[in-house]
Amino acid sequence: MLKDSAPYIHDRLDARGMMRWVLVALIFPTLAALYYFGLSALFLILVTTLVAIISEVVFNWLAKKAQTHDGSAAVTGVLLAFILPPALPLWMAAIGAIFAVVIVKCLFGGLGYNIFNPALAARAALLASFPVAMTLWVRPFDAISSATPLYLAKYGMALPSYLDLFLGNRAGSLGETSALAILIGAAILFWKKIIDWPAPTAFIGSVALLTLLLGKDPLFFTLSGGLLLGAFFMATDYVTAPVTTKGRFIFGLGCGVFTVLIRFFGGFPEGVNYAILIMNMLTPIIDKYGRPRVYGHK
Amino acid sequence: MKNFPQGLHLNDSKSATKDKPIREIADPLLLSFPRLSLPVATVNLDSLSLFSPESIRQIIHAAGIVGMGGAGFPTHVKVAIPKEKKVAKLIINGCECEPYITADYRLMVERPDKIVFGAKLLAKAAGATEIIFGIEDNKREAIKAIKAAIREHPAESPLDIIDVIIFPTKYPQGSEKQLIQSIIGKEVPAGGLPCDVGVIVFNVATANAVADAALEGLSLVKRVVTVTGSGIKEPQNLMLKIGTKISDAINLCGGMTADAGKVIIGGPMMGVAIDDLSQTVEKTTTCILVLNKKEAKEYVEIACIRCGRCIKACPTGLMPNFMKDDAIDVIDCIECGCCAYVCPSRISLVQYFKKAKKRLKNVKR
Repeated sequence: MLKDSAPYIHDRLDARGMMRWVLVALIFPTLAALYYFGLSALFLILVTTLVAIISEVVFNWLAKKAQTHDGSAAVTGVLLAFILPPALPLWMAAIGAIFAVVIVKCLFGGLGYNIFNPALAARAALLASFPVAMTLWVRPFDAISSATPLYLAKYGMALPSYLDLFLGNRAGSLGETSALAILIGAAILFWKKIIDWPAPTAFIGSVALLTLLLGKDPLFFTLSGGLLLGAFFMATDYVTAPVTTKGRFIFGLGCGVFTVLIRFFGGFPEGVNYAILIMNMLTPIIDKYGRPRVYGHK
Repeated sequence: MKNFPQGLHLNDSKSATKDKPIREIADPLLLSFPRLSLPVATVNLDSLSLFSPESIRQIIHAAGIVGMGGAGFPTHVKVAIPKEKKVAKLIINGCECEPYITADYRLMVERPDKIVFGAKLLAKAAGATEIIFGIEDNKREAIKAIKAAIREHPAESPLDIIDVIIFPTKYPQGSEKQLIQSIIGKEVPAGGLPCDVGVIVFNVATANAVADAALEGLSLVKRVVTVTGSGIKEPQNLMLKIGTKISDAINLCGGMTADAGKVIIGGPMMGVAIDDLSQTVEKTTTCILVLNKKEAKEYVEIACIRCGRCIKACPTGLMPNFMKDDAIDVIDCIECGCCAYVCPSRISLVQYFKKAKKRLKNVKR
């Protein structure tokens, strides 16, 4: 007879199951990326995902740690591809994947211990290392070089229609362009209760509100750039965001404020990446002050 | 009425024992149990006025009655409220909230009159004027039975009111602190007792035992035990003598199936797994649960991924994910198991907290 400790029944969903559902949700932006950017999207996603998985296995082997098989490396790989320019040379993408998994995650202790979102930190590293390749954007279908909507807006040029923005027919990072595909993926994660509303709502809401206050078009700035992908798939990352509902709301608000600051007052057209990384750093302090009140205490 | 926050919605469809009457076990060598000589002669369900608070406490003490919901605290001590405290409400806990267990449910369905009478005696002994039955909404027959019993035997002096409050089925509704919060909207202060907020809580089985003692002079020598689970051939509720071997109880239910993998005393959320079946039924044994090998699998613990589900589930408002390394709040933990139930990393959180509590206790000494 097995003699272990209570409880003896568990919710069916375990960590691996969660990662599997995240991968399922990521299928929809993947399909959109394949549709708009063709084979280059496929290669980029395959390279980052495979390199991410292999780097983790090799690291664990070299460090004599148990292999994890939790699926988080695959999620990191796919998400990294999603935030890279479609025409990025594959070897640069591979370096990004290695950086994400080994430097940002494994060296900090592996899943559960990393401070920064691995995909976002890797993108920041790539942007610092390869500034030209990382800002070379292409149009969907014909891959002719083109500027992103946020760049066009920053320099007062003609903008794509709302419909194109919604469907994803615009230049941008691989998985960020189609709002529709991201929303379908997010709906799956909400349905499975894998992500919750505070961070995405506060993030998107604060960006829209602040944009409106600054006299700009909130709908355009919500659909452009990486806001939706960041809000639903990065700001909801368990490991690098706060753990409580209140904390997650504050985290989302901070992401929104920094995004708007960078977009309208900073040097880059887009600020989602750095906004989330900055808030990642503040996560421990938000956790500390976001504690719920304990029963029977004032 | 505001229910306690958070908690879990557990699937209670596994109660295979819910509709079967409690089975009395005939014992050829024991024709009747020894009786107490009661200070009050010829009593029935309406003779509350014959008992003084002091005589009720004496009977409870002599009958050896303890809290039968699980804690096992001596009932005669609990009803002796300190002079400086005042208890207005007596709550009867009919929220048997762990899946599988139906012992209290069957008692409420089959012996509602006795439970109501026992509650009156307890209230009189504790000096309470109001009795509230808290029952979950998945126990319709029990609610009906208790309501009918109250109509037939309404509140009498010194009681003002007897009422039934129905709660949504939610775990751990039957936890004393959560039940109090749901009924009076106030929390028991940290380190305090229910009487600090003017209430006292007893389990339905305890009330039944008090009635048995007062009506028939019967000591607490038997109790209802749910014997159930996928590893039991004929799940049912048994009326067992205290001291019955677990293995005998299982054999009375047709024995274990071939693929039985785990024997638990208590429910699936808070019970204790045992490997020695010669242990016995105690006054606090509510359930013997046998799971099959598939359900009894061992989980591999991985690192916390900070999903926050344990925080959302904790009815006490703790952060179980941080308590694993920093035992600061562990004293407030009620060990209900909600956190470990939802944990996707399968961390045995409750086990860590139990160990931490033990360590803290040793430090204090």
